[in-house]
Amino acid sequence: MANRNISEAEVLQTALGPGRDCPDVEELESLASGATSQTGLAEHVKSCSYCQTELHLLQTFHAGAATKEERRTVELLQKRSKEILRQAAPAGKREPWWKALFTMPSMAQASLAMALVLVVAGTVLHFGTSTLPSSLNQTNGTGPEVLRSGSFAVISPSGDLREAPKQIQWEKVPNAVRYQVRLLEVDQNELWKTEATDDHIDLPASVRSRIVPAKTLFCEIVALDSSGGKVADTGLVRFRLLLKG
Amino acid sequence: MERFTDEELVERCRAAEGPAAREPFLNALFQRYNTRVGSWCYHITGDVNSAVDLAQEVFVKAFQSIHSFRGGSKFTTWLYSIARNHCLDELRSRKRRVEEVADFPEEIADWGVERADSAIERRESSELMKQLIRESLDETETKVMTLHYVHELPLDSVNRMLKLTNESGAKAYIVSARRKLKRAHELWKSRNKRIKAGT
Repeated sequence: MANRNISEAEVLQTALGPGRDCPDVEELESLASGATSQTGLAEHVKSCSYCQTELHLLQTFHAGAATKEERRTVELLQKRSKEILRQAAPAGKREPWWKALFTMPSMAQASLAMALVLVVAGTVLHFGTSTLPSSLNQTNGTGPEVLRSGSFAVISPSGDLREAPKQIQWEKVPNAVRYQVRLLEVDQNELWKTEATDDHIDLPASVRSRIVPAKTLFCEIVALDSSGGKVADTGLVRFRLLLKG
Repeated sequence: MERFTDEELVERCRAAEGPAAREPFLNALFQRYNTRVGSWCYHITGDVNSAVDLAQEVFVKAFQSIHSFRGGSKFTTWLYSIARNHCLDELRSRKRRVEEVADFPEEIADWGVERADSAIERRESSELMKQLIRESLDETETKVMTLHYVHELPLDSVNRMLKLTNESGAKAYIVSARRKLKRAHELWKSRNKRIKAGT
């Protein structure tokens, strides 16, 4: 009986869940507020039970506090404002150092000049590699060096998916001895973090269960050398599960 | 602060140096949206104290990652996404779903557990279910089923989200929906049998 119930729940979840044409929450909001008038999108939302439910949730959010309990919740939340702002303080530390440099007008020109000097020096070093040890001249054997731009690609997962991914796979990076792998939510909350020595890693069941339909997630891989220094990274690569099976 | 749009407040917050300089802008955003976030969280939990805890977590999460807000979308939409995802994740982590499956023991149809691994057959079953839902259920029944089976909201959360005032609330709608789907599936099966017998 339990197995049948699980199978039926899967069928219901897929039938009632989001499809390929279902818009994300930003498009839904634009449609609801009249900021966009895409006829195709409007027709879809009108006839889609999942989108109708999502619209209802969005409208509930905007409706505000109506009952006594809701107002009491807001009252108590208001009293915690100082604590919330105190906990939110670390946000500033995330700002990259190069951004802070460019917000100081007097430093901007000096920083640009420094960057130019570094580019020139790097070019000179690159074209004068005949005296460098041969190990630093290696390519990955499949074509141009992956590292010229300091980034490499995630092979999977990316974009809209029909099945929850079983593994994450990426391009191999020359000079990298290990890779730091992260899964993140839209708000940068880290779902999972691990390290791998190969060009792929299997997702454990506990992580796969958190990849649910309509939820946008990101993966990010950082290639590290033997001293733990960053060699390259993929940046944030978006993916979203649409349908099961 | 009132004259600034949400997006202008976010920009000023990002440009400010140090927590003390950022605070007035974050506080302005908090004052604007604590009602929406607080009451949304109450809809989810049904308990004032846990709703306040959840709402606090939502704001802290949002403010700690305010650098990741892309100017292309509205701030309220972004904040709503954080609140929605955080609250639904919190519900899933409580694992209430397994208990409530037992409340509806009667199957809609025999989907055939031995074929559950076949992707094609699972897709066909889902397409059939979609069609039966479209033909048999009304708007409220469909929303109740979606909130419960897709978003895994417990029945009391569904009641509050949809403002259901009937005595048995969401449970009654699910029982009625499942009965209608069972009947519709039986009709479909007998129609199918007649068609196959006729060919």
